[in-house]
Amino acid sequence: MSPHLAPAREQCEQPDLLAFRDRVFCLCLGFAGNSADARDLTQETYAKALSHYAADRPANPQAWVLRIARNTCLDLARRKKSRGPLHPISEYAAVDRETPETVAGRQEQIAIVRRAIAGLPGRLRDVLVMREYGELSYQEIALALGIGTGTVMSRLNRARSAVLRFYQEEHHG
Amino acid sequence: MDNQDKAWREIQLLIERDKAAALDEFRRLPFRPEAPARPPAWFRLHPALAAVAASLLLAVALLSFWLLRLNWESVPTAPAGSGILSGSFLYAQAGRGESPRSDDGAAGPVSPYFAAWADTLERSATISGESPPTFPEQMVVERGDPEEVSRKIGRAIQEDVFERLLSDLHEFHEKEA
Repeated sequence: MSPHLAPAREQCEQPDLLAFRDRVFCLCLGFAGNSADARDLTQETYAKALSHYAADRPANPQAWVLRIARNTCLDLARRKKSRGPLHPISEYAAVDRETPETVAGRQEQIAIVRRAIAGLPGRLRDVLVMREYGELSYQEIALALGIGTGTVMSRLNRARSAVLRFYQEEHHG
Repeated sequence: MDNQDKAWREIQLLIERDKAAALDEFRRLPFRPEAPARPPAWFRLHPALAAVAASLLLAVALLSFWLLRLNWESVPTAPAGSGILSGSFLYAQAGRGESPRSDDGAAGPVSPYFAAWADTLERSATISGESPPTFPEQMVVERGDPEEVSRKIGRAIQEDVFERLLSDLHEFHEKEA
């Protein structure tokens, strides 16, 4: 370990921050589209969260960390635009423990869903990823994005329709 | 609507599987988030406090300078820099410039041929009782008076000032060569 880095739990007294790392990871997975990038993003998110927790002292740590995760993911998306992806997506397709045929078929379906989500406009993608990958409630999404609950619901509906349309076109021909 | 909900359930199932597989891989590897070490609290300075501290330091520095030198006029000239600064307008204004073109005769090194030429010119003028030739650039021309300018140029042409200047320069150039 680098001498300039301090372990998380020694640095701050916030044991509950790590309790929802799975949700943070899933949110990053939704935005990044592959598990390797999602892992890096989760790491980066926690590095930021741990260094700013003492100063910010958020009332809702989970929403706060998820907001950091979203911003970190959007930063990565911007970097990718100029540099290309950090990890090739094909290298990190979802791994299942089933028969090779099933796995191949499911991987293809998952790849289509990922492409559909990646192709959504930013406002719709934010809401869909937070809901489906981050498992945030409508209120939490509204709070994180600074919009009303009604707007969240309408954007979610539009995002789902767009993903469904893309999936059906790609999968069923 | 039901069809859409059903279709969406299929997508949700795929997302769930995607998450489960990725999470499985994520949990298998150690996850040790680290925060970059920050400087100790006593070292961190609020920006406003930093500005106040900088202002105080500047004030103390100026006060010390004033106390040591008593006043600003007694600041000595920098000997090493005087040669470099002599061309500076501000430096010259302060009366510390040693311009090589000063009128007191303490000019810089002058070519011996030029000095000889200047002596000859002065001597011939003294013998003939004329005033030394006046070169056009030395004439005082009042700005905004074209008649005066043309009159002075005409007089210079009549007195063959330019020809004399050219011949003198030619002679000087030959000697120099």
